[in-house]
Amino acid sequence: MQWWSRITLVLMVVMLSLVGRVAQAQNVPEGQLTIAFDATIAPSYLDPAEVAELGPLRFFMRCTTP
Amino acid sequence: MIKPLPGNNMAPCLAESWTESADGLVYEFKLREGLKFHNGDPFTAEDVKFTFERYKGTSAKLLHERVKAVEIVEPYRVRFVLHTPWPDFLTFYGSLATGAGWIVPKKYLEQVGDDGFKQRPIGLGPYRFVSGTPGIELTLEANAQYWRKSPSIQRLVFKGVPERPTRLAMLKTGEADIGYLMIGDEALAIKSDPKLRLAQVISAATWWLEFPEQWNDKSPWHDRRVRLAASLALDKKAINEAERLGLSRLAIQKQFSAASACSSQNRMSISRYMAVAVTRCSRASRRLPVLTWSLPTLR
Repeated sequence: MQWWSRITLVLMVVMLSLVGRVAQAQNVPEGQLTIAFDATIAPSYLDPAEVAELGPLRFFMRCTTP
Repeated sequence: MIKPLPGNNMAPCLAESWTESADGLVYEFKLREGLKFHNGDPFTAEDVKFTFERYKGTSAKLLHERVKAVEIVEPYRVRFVLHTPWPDFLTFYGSLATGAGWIVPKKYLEQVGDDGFKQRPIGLGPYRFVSGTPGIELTLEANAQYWRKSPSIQRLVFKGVPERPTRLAMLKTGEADIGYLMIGDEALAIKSDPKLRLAQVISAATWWLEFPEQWNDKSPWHDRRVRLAASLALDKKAINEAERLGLSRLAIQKQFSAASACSSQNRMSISRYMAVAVTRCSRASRRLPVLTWSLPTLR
């Protein structure tokens, strides 16, 4: 293998690994978000079968749409 | 099953597609394959049927009365058969108006029961339950297996804070990153604080005034002109400015959509009707009852 072919190959490997790392970093969730919700979060909020008012519906929407 | 997402008011979710029969009696959902609940149990049509049978939230009686049968066609295909055509059916499975479309895990619920489920709920969403203190706080963490979009925040902590001034104080001290429903004076305080940002949120709910006595022919509200006069008397733009800093959208008044086109002469005669109605009520020492209602709607 020619010397320039080797260099090109090494550069390609390095670039591909960098691209992979960046993509991986973008997909890893991080940090904490503290939310002051405008209602008391009752135990019934945690069961969709019991949702009978607007508060829990808004709460579920927040939890299920990233 | 189906839910509003940006750009699509009825976007595929747990159901990747659905059909409605020509006679409006059958709705069939093709479920997304390969989804797993937070405990690793697979999501199937059994869970959809179980969720329907277990549902007891908003308008559960109506839903159960209208649906004749839920049939599991295949592990990932479920069919709802109605007694009669019912255009509102997809309100239950394609909107935020009820909790019927949030599917719960049959196997897990049969193991832990209703109370066990509330203590340690699992679902199919982007965040899984970690811990919770009823009425106080709830901690969730990102579900790496979520099918649609990887969450960008690892941990969510929800704190139940019904008092608006307390939410504002939490924002100012850094105890909370986001405070919901910041309106009125607190919204003004946020707007004038360079460290905080007031974000406009068009809520999935519409608020309106209801005249519950309009069906009683002895009530002043029975007269449509009185209701129209009351509607005209409200300065909705000013209320929006005062309460919401002008950030809410004023809805079209369905019943009185032509009201804005009223001539000033008509407005005066309408005002006279209102004055007569109010005088009548004053003499009878009673109030004109009005209720405010809200209903989730598609946006």
